[in-house]
Amino acid sequence: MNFLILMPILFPILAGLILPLLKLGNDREKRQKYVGAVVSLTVLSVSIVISAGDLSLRLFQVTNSVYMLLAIDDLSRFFLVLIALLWLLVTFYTFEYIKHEGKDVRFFSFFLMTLGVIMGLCMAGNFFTVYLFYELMTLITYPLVVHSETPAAMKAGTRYLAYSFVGASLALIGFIFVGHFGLTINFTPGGVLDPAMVAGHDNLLLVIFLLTFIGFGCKAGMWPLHAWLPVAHPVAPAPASALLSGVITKAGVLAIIRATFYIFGMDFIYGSWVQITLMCMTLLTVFMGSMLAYKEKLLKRRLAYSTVSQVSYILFGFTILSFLGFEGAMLHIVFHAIIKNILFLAAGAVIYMTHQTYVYELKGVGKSMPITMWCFTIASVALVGIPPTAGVISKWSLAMAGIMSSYPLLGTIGAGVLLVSALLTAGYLISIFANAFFPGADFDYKNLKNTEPVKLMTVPLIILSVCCIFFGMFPTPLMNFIDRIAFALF
Amino acid sequence: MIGHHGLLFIVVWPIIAAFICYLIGRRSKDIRDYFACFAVLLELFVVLIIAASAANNSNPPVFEWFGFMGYKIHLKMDGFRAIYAIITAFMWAMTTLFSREYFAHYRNRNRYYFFSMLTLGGTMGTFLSADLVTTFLFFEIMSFSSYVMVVHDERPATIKAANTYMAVAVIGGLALIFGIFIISNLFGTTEISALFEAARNFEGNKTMLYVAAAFLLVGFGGKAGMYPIHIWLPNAHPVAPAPASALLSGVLTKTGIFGIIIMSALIFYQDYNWGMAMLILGVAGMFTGALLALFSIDLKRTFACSSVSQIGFIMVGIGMQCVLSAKYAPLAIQGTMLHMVNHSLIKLVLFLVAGVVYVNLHELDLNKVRGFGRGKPLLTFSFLMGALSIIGIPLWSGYISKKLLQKSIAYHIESFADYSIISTFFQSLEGIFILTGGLTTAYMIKIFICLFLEKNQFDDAKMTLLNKKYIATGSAAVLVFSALTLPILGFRPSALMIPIAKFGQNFMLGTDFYTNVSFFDAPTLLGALPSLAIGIIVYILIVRCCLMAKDEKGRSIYVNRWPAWIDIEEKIYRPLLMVILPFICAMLARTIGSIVSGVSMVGYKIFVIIKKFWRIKLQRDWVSEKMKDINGFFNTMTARMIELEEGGKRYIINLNNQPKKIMKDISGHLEDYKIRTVFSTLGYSLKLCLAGAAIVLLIVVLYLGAS
Repeated sequence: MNFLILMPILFPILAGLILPLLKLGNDREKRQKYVGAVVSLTVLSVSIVISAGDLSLRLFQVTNSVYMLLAIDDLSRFFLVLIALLWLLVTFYTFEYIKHEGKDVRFFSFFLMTLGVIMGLCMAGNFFTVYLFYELMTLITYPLVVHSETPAAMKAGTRYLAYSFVGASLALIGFIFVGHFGLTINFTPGGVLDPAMVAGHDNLLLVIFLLTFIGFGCKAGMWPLHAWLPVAHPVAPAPASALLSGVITKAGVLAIIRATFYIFGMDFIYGSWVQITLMCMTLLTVFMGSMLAYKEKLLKRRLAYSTVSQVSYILFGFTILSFLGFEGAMLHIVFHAIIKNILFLAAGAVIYMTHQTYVYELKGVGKSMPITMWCFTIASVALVGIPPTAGVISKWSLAMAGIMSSYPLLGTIGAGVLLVSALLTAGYLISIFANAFFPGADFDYKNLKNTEPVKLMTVPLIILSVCCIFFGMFPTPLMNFIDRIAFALF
Repeated sequence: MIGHHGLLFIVVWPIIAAFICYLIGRRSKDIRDYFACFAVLLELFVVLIIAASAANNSNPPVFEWFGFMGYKIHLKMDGFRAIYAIITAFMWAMTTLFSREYFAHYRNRNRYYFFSMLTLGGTMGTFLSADLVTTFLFFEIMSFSSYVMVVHDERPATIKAANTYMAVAVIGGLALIFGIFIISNLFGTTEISALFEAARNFEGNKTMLYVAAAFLLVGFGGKAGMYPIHIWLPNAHPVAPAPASALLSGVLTKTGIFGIIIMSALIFYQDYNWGMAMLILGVAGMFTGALLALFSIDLKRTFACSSVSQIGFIMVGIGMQCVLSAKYAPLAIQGTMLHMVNHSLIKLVLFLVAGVVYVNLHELDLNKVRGFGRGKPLLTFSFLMGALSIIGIPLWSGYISKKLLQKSIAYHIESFADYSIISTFFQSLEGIFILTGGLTTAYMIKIFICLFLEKNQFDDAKMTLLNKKYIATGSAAVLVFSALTLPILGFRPSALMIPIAKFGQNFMLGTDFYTNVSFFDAPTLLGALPSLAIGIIVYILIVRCCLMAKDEKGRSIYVNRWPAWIDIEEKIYRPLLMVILPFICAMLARTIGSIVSGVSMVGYKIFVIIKKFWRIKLQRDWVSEKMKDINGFFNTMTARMIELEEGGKRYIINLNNQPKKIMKDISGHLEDYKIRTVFSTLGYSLKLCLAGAAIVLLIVVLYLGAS
């Protein structure tokens, strides 16, 4: 049974590799069927894998203690389901959008392979496997970023690679040290460090943890290695940015969770100077990201800065190292993934239909693309944290966790920063949809054309928006599942 | 879901009705209008039934839905909540009935109805909430959906005012949630009925409690129109459609007051400091509002400023509750309660009158609407009811509540045995109270004379032309019915108003009076005279003499003499929030954000210079070469790379490397291109960081080898 675990990884990767060889030529419809079928089957295989119990598979040995291990636990299930479902929705959207970009075969080929690699990352059972898939993910998403091959895109791609490799090399340092100081490199709730070995080297290991955190934080857009996000997102095709923002950043978060709670262990970090440093760094990112987003005029870059800020909400939740913080952060992972996908897909739809990329050009778009902009509005409202949409619940938990943390002052300031950032979020998102829906009395209604995109694009948006409100009203099942993960750790 | 499901229905029905309304509206506008009326009347009916059962039952109906939003929804309908649920439903019913005529020629009516219904749901939920989290949930729904009501006609002025409204709503909402966080952390509960006990037994840091309260006050006070965050009111009301103004002023501001009452009566029960803070804010708002209203030459703006002033009266009542001893506090409590009710009903009438004016003339400027009411007895009657009530003439409802508030101050002054700063404060408070009453009288006289007595200086024929057909029968009925409530309530206070106050006072922990207050004995009646006298004097001396002038054709017109530089919104809030703070913060953020790229860039440049320096070291003219390098270094440090987009193609150009002429060409046509500055540097950070990583690894290996 254990070999089943390979299915969600190998299936899309192989399918992606085969796609260019299939000679589907210009037959877009056949290609769409093929890609759709592959992604759907991957989702199916994910559902099989997550329901088949705690599978684990040891693949190949590098050294005695270093080997590749795939394993399923609740945390993997959480990320597998989230990512697979989002991927499915984005796939359908991409069918239409890619007409605008061209080079479908290459795009879909890497698109599928990325899915496989991320599935692998979710199921990684030890540090080595995470590192491997993490590096692979960087390489394989590169073609998605540089898809348009304009000089700007190539430059952005280079930056993306540079930052990611720097981050990964920092994480590598962490890996080497864990190999030396740990009992094992397999993920164990509570950490794997050997107390006997660690004694006397506490500070060294704390520095190493900090480096690992920053390294993985690169993918999550955490300061100081955040600068690839605002460059890479605007040039990538909308579905790719949606996935980069909604999913790939979460892969970085997943790696951070694994390193923090399953490798170094929260007891080791709790109360140390590294915890304070990290809390400050994440808060700094939260503030910086939302402030820069507020000042940015290019829509997709604004959203990218917003991602920088929002993902650091999540990281802030983890660095508090409390049950409530963990719960809030995990909820925010789900909600931010959904919300950011909506925002990027809606922005993509606007660009696809009207070729407008700057926020001030969007006046009256709400009249010509009501469904798209309604979805955008719901997502914006949710991202600001206005009830009864989803965002408010996670932000509530995060801010409460901050106030109730072991550092009351820093935590309260943290909650304040989160709220200031929410205010800025309101500033940079509400202005967009207010402009789109209320273009002013002198708006030219006569020449108004309905430029709503086709159903392939709107339906995924609608589904995500409904989720956005639904989870806001009834988050209990989700919270129960997160509590199950958290109980193993706290 | 446990408890009385009717409460859930009250809150959810308008939200469902909003969607039904919208869907119907896409097919038929008439049926939509009828359905909207049906929906609000049904709402009123259900509210009345449940309120009646609440009145006859010592256990108020409650409803709890656990698990909603990961927490719960907790609704309750006790005395105060029942009264405000009824008033909300009543006002919505009246304005919706009125809307049919008012909106007949508007665009986007479907949108208006949709959001009006949503706002109704949110407002109901806010008033019925028995838990601060529930309050917050509905408060936000209300704030955001009412934005659409304000921005409805989308003129530039409207959009600006609506943006102010939105800003107050967003900032207020976030302040509110932050306050709730702290309260929940300090008290361990957000249940409103448990706050009183929690605050009594609270032994922690009192400063933290005041901080939390300050945040809550920003949240609730912003919505209430409390001074000094009343800024949205005078701007939003004149531009919003009249039915929306009536609701904003009559009901939505009261949700803020509801929150302030929760704080004052439960958390800060008999807390002197808090009471004084409320009193000072109240007095400031009361007086400023009245003064602004006196100077305003816009019909609805006058009413809006009057709202600020009346909210000030209510705040004074709230402050007096905390300041007075438990024996006299009921006076202030009943006064507050009744003044809230009165203000809601009065503003309904006044804004509907303004709506009638606007429907006919599409103007609100006093000079243009002057004389509109002449020969329109129905309109005159309705306006008079509202005006007499708000001025506080005996036999009208406003008199009762103002009297109660005034008496509460008077009793407090009596309790001072000797002269002190505090007693002077309260004496001047009473003075300002009476003076503000005088100003209220003055601006209502101003409007009355302008609208109903004077002739229009521009086009009088137009005004009389409309005499027979200025209002549809339905709207007229709504208007008269709303206006009649005021004298009916005020005629026999013991029959209606005092029972209302008694029904609602439990919420503010009020008890019955120690003695009966009589409203119609000679000294009390005479007490109303000073305000009236001041009002008439102010009208004659200030309005007639200073606020009117002759224009170039010798016509006497109203002029706006309010100095333009006294405008907290334009002079303080907007520059601070839109320019100064964002600038500072953005500079900070950019500095933080570019640290890494900056450091790696500088590092690379130094590396290049060192490399070149080694290469040319042996040459004779190395000094000049080095100078050139440094020159080049600064040149590239300040390199401006721009990305041009032209005809679908993109170019990246380093402006510093271009000859002057090309530079000129480009800069001449910069607006033709989409230009973004490209910060180019970071390709090299990879090398640097890998080198760094290698060094770290080396150190690590050495470290391990040593240990």
